[in-house]
Amino acid sequence: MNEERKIDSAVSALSQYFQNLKQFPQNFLASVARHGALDSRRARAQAVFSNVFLHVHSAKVHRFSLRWNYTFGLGIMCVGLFAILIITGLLLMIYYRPDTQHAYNSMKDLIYIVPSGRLVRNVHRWGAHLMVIAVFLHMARVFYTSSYKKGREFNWVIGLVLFIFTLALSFTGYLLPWDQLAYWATTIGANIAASPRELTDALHLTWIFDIGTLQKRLLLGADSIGNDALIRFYFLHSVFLPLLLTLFLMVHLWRIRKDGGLSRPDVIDSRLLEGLPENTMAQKTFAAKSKKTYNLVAMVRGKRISFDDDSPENLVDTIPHALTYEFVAFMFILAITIVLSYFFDAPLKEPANPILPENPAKAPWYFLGLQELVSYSAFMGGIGIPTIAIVGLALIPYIDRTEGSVGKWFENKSGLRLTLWSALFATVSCVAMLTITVNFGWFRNWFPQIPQLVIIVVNPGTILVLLFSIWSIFTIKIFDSIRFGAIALFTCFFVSFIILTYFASIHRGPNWGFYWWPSLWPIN
Amino acid sequence: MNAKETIENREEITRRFFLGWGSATIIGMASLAASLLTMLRMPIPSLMPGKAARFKIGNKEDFPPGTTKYFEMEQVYVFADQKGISAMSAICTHLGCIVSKEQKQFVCPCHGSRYDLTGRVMQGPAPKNLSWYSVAMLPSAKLVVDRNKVVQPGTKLLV
Repeated sequence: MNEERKIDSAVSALSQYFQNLKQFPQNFLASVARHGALDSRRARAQAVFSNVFLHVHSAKVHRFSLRWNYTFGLGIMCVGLFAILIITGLLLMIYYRPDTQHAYNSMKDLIYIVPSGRLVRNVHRWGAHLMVIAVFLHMARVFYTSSYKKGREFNWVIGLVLFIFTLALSFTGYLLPWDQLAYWATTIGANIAASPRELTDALHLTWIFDIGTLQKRLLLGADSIGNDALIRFYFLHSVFLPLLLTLFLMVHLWRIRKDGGLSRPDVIDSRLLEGLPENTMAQKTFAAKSKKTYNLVAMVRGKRISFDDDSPENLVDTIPHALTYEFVAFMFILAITIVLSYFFDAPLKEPANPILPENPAKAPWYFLGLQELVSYSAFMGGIGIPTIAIVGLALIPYIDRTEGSVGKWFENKSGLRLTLWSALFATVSCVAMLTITVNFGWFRNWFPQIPQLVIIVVNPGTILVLLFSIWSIFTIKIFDSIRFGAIALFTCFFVSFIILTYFASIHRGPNWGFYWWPSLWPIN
Repeated sequence: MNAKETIENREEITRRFFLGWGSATIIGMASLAASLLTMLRMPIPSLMPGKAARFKIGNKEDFPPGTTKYFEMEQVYVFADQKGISAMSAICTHLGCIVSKEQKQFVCPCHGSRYDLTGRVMQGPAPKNLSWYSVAMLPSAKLVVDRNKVVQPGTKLLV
């Protein structure tokens, strides 16, 4: 009997070997996806929970979060565009050379010689423009749905930081092609960095504290734009800023989870949830109070996942529903980017020529509104007012602490009307201001000897800020609501940004003069 | 029970505790400060590349009274009149664009700042007048402009 057993074990080890070999594929798959096939709700929840890439999601999402006309998928589009930019950026890095001698030629190679180079470069450029638009719209969505309240205040601030990083990434990337457009737009930007000089000179403080020159030197590595500036901008654009943005993005997404998911109203009208995926098991399983037992995995803020009310009916599995909606949003923005890239080439003008300024030398479109303000006062338009705007935005969740209608666009009908009135007010103020400056100029035209400090303090930009603040405070009084004041102020800022951007891109021509249409520009 | 005497259950700070933790803290903070200073000064450039501030412009015979010359590499205008030779920056004080010269004024293409022929701001967002640079003569009788030396407007080198 013993010999039989010995022979049995010898045979079975060898056959076991072959059997293991045969089963390698399914064993391997099982070791990777330990939750098994995604055919049960448990497996799907486990997949989300145990996967490092997916676990920023919750295992279940509320149906309200999937409403397309609530978020418009803008957050996903921002992240999706960032991913597109990273991938195309990595591909471009294979051929681009960050050296003044070779940069322009490497761009030409990319466009005309490198396989798919033209398309990839266009996707990168258009993706960058779309990402700036997406982050603006995302910020507006979060604001108008009051999604900065109830514990989400700091996430709003992190979002603002991400916004600044996005603009910085766009600005540093703009120089890299090293063409006329790039060089002169960056000259403007670098001189804006040096513009505190305007203030310290007016206050006669430059000899103690020349922050303007220091900032410019830090940015350019020299006193003028050259090889040092190019390599610094390349480093910032390709390494440092993407790293920082990724870190802050991690915190931003993590906080959404810890805040209980996307914002939604406390009481949701069931009509709003029509057409969304349903939790088909809810009727059967949760008819009475839940009898399940749970282990505590984490503390999540908010009134979510309470099993005493009807909310389990409104929770659906992340796989497949949330991932599907995210996929759709991503595909949508990818499609737009690729279609734009296919039909419209990113510009590349003549090689950078420090002796021959572009006329007009314009910043990238999202900075044009700023450039209009800068044409009145370099410091106020370039640093002062943007700082005021960012600080103002950052303060919104801390000043407006009303328990308003989180999850509702514009709060209510009154809010919508206020938004429209504020948009009108902002439009009228901007147009009036621009009419005055175009036709009559500003202080130095009328009083050539006027001290610069007066112009720094009183210029079209600061006057608009004053007007909007007065409008906002007036709104707070009339409606007796800080939230409505916030709506007024934000709308004014948003609308004036759009108007100034439009004005500076269409109606400003050579010598920054006013022209009704670009076709009327004199040809130099 | 003999509880270990730590700072939490003691009434006072002993010399031993103070000297021990004090020196550790001071050394720690000093190390942190030293490493931060070392790393943070690295991005600030110490050697400026680019064109040298001083450049030769020629001999005095090249500048008879009534001459105006523009040196485009250095972005400097040089004028000569009865009172002498002077040099002025062509870089607009608003945001660094290069001004172009018209009959009786300088105009900046970027935002329309206008300066008169002595560099004084007449119109536009420029906060300061155009800088005048020093003109000197070397022992070799060559004239040299130094962009690091800003002089009072109206300063001319009599040759």
